[in-house]
Amino acid sequence: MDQWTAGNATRRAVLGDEHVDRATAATTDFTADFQDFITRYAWGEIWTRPGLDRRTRSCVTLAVLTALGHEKELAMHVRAALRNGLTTDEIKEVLLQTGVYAGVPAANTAFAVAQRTLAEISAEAGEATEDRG
Amino acid sequence: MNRQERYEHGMRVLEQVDGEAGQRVVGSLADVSPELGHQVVAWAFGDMYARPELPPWDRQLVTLGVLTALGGCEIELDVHINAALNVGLTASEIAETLLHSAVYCGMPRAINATLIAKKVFAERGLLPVTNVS
Repeated sequence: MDQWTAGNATRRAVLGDEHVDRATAATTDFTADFQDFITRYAWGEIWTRPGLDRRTRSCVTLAVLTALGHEKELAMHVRAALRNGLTTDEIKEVLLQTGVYAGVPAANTAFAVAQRTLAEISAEAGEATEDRG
Repeated sequence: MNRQERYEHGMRVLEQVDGEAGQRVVGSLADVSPELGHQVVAWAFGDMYARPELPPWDRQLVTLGVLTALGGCEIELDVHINAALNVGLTASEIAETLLHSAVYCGMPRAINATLIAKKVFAERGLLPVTNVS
């Protein structure tokens, strides 16, 4: 399997088809090379490596994004973390642990982002249930 | 727990996780800011690290991710790479964690952290690191 195909499969498994379809649809001539790069490098080269499982990679990713204050990416990776098997309690603990090392403001922001994202996921699940009913 | 009990509890956790390296950092603060030394032990280890919801293995990964992402944390990376080995992570898993971080914090900080890991691995006779892939 080539790197792009492997990366695309892993990206879809971690971020979900809906997210990747949206990103693909939004791709322009200007952003196409970047989409290609992250699919091959971040997803095809790194996330597909066997050295750490996806749950562990999610822990590290949440920590780095919290430390650097990347709120939008953090929201995306809270969803990914749940998909990769972290529980909401474990996500909370990851963010608590970062409070000591990245500082309270970074953790405070991360808690707000994660709280909002978990509420969105919960609301979406409610809507899906209503749709079926 | 009162102040003294939290410190004593934290010191027991610190000794298990960081061994002598952690105590050296705390000791080095004794004549300049003993309160900071106290708080590292009491809060980072007594209050946070000992929480059962996330095992030490995961906490070390999260901590390495944050320290790598922030940059300028070479002294702490030295301590926490030793700690990661102490709680059961392998040299290969640590190298993989820093490789993964590179995607999210950029390659320069991952290189800096990996060169600290190299120093620690050399001190503990763990070079060369054999990757799983």
